[in-house]
Amino acid sequence: MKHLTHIWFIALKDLKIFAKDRASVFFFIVFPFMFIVLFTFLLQGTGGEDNRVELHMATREASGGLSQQIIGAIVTPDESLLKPGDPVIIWDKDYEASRQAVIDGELEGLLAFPADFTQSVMTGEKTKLEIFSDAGATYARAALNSIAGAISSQISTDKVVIDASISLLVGSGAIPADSESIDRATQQLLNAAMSGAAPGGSDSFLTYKIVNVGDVEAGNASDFVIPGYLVMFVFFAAAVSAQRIVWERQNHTLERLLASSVKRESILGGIYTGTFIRGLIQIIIFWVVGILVFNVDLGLSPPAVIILSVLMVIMSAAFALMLATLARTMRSAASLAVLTSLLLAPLGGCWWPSFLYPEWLQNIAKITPHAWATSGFNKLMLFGADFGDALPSMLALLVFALIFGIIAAWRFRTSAT
Amino acid sequence: MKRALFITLNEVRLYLQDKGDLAFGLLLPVLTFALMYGAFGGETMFKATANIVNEDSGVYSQQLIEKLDSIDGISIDVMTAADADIKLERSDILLALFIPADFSETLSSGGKAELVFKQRGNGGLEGQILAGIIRSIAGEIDQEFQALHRVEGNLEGNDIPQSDIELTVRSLLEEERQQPSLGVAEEVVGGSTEFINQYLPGIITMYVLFALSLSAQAIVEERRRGTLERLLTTRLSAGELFFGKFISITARGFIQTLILLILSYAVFRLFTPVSFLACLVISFVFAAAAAALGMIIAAISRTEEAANWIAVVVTMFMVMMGNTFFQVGEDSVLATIGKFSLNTYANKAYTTIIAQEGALGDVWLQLVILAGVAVAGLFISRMIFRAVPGSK
Repeated sequence: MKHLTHIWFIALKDLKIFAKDRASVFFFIVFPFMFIVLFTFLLQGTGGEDNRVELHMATREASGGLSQQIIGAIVTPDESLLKPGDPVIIWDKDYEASRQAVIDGELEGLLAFPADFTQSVMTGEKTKLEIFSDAGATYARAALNSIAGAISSQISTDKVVIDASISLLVGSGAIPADSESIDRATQQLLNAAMSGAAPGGSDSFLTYKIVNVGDVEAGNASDFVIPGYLVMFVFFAAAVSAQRIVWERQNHTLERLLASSVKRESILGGIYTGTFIRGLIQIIIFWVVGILVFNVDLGLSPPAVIILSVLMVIMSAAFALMLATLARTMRSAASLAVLTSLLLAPLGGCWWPSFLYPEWLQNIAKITPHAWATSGFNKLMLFGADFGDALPSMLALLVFALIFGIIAAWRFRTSAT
Repeated sequence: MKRALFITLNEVRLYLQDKGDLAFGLLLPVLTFALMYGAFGGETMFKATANIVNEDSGVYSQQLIEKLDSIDGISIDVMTAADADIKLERSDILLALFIPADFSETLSSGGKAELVFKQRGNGGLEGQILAGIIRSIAGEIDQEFQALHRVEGNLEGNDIPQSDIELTVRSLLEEERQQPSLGVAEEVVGGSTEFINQYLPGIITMYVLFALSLSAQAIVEERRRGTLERLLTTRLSAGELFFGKFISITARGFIQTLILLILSYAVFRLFTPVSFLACLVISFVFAAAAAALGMIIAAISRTEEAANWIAVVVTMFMVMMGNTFFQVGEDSVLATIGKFSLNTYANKAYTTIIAQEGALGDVWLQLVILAGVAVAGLFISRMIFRAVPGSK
């Protein structure tokens, strides 16, 4: 009981120091909201756009070529006639000008038919469609690749149909095996395929039905921004408090506490409890303001969001203690706190979503508690995940907390010497 | 002046010996830039999650899901119809593919099967592309049925066994899949170069400003411990002490930028000799402006902690408003606020030299503003700077 009282008194003392330090209160309570307001403002309306994908096509063939027929068949004559989700296909007549527009950054990408397209299709030679795009135009490139894949697939089907038919007809003796007869039969089948008048038809065996369940609504930017800055600043605040622990060790405050019958474990517990309560206050303020002012949606499982937040606080407080045991001077504690906080925050997806990172970077990010926390929040608050989906993130934070806590308990020193 | 330079030399020597400071000033910008370059530089891949409700237990729905899952960047989230409806209702997802229960059976029996896209509006940009990819993959399954059907039509009345038709068509389809008659060649422009030009100056200025404004903490510490007061008992005047500190902070910033610019040159080959020299001039003026800011922070802060917080707050404000991570529209409110950020001018100057191959003459306005801040900041901080707490 006496130890618990000591722990409580030490925690209370730390909280009083924090509450009286206006700069700290400003930095960890008010300052994050300046960022949240700024980014919510900047990202407002993001996700509310529902423009159709716009694809530019061109051909290097002279007029009358097969590519002109293909583009003519799929180009969008009137946007109002399109079904929901259909892309707008634009025919750029001047290939070179469109290519230059991509280079100049005026156009994201272009799909072009080669100059030998018709010739290659007729003779069965291999050729290639050209996708020319800006490296950063991820969506345009994917869309152009998908339409190129569809055209390629159709040409392949036509070729297989003709080759198989000719091969089987020659094999059965229905047409003579001389090249003149084969060429004539091939030409007939090709013409039928191109005109869509092939026997058996060229209708697809798959149909697509589109059910519209409503309009696209803009997401609330705060649903991403607030968890990101919560993770960053809860961790930052805890990490920076390591500086004070080192200071108390350097000016012998901790030693004096030991001399006054307070146990080492009570000091450790008191500092930890103080940092933990301060973190709790931070998350309560974050979520209350988030819900009341920024209209944050906690998703389908609010308890999971709360548990994840509390685990973030538990882990951060353990990290602060570990940092204080590793740093010898106040200056190195401050540098390490700023360094780790500012490096782990972007790596862990606090500044921008980590799900945008390439695979290898997402894997590296997993060594940070931030990545687990933000991915948990994102799953819950942006993608409608349930409690079970957030369990790996919770478990990971718990493991981080245990590792940091064990190191802190093992290495904690009350004396600078 | 000579004594002030001694202080500068001593501070620079200490800086170069302090591994922690060097790590903060050099390692952190390199790591941050590497992180951003890895994340957003070069060619980025389309990434999306396909939300699928599979009510079919047959082979073709499984084939469709497996093929989709094998595409790089696409992950699959199979869910129940009820879950999908709730998520669509809440706008958690914008598009879901429903594969009906009789999908495989219908295809196997030669009938026309249906795939259903439940979506909000057009399904969002990601959803539209995903739907295109799904159609393309489904098209591959359809290809076999279509080819068989058409070949059967072409051979009608020729009494060719069905097994021969199927064997020939499947063998030719496989050949086509291995080596398609119509391939796709992709060529990309831009990417990494644009990314480097856009973000490298911002990262460099961010950490230089951070380091210099945080150096105020060391001055406050020396004042609180009486080190500055002791120095005044020597022949060093308060003015020399002040200018020595200012020049040392400027020199630190300049050295930090110089090393980062040399590293950038070594890795990305960004500069010509002339543009490199121009960047050094910008670096020097920016370092002086940032040092003046650091001196103001040192002058107004009573404790190290206060200096620390003010430095972090000021730097983060200037970084966020200074076109570091995102471009602010020219006529927006944020652009007006951004005019109070040193980084706005430094980043603009660097970008003009590096990306637009400009000359120093093209960035005279930015240089004049930064130099003006340096002079004004120096004047203000000298007015309020105290070497001894409470002294005049």
